[in-house]
Amino acid sequence: MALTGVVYNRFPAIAARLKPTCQGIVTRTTLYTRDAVQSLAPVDSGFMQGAVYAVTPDGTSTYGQGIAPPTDDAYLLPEVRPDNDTTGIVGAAANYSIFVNNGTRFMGAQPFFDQGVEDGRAYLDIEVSRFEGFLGSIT
Amino acid sequence: MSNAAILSCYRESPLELDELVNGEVWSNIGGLYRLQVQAIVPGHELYYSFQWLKSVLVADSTLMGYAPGNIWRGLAPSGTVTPFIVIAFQAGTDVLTMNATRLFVNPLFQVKVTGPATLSPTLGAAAAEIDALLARTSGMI
Repeated sequence: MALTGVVYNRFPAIAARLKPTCQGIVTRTTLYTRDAVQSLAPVDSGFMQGAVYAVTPDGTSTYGQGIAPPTDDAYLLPEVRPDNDTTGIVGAAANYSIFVNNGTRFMGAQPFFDQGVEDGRAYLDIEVSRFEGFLGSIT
Repeated sequence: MSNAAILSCYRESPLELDELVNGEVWSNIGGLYRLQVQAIVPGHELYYSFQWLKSVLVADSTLMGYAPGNIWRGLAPSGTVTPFIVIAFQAGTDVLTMNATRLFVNPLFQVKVTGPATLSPTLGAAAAEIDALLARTSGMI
């Protein structure tokens, strides 16, 4: 007659590491995406590029760390904050960023934000594919 | 023989952008459309994508009635009759095999109708027509 039973129960250890692992993935992806968006941003005064910011799940933010607005009609839009501790935010805070990214009646689009997000999406795929490794060995 | 297969086309997000130009508000209404494009004949997938998008839109007489300014790639020239439609490439990635053979391309296009906000009902109808033509479709070019 066969006997069965649970010899090891690792689920509590796995569960304890899930959230920190996810937060790590989101943090790295958020910062990578911010860097990608910033590197693709067209630069005139540098205000718009410097106004690209990231807020990581632990609440750390790079909002408002760029140069001051060069003209009276340029300003920073309010900071967007994540509403939970597993979300990251990448924002372009210069008030005219969307017109550069999407173009206007007079100007073709220079889509720095969309392509940066696209690069971030590819990076997230890589990070998620390494999920097991990030969880680490549980003994 | 077709040059490329448009494996899918769907709207990823809507787009509405107003701009104030010399005291007059202009509206851009449309969406960001994601394509999956596989070249059959060697060529550039984005060029094939532009060709397909334009061919689908221009074939619709209702849409062209809403947009007498025609369809433009990237930017309409100064003085274009309004409303007009602009198709612009926004972003994209290649989908590769492990040994870097390209399977297909995932480009994101902005497709919008532009005109004075006083023509908002027409702009809205044109944007809805664009969506009816492109959302959840596929094709060949």
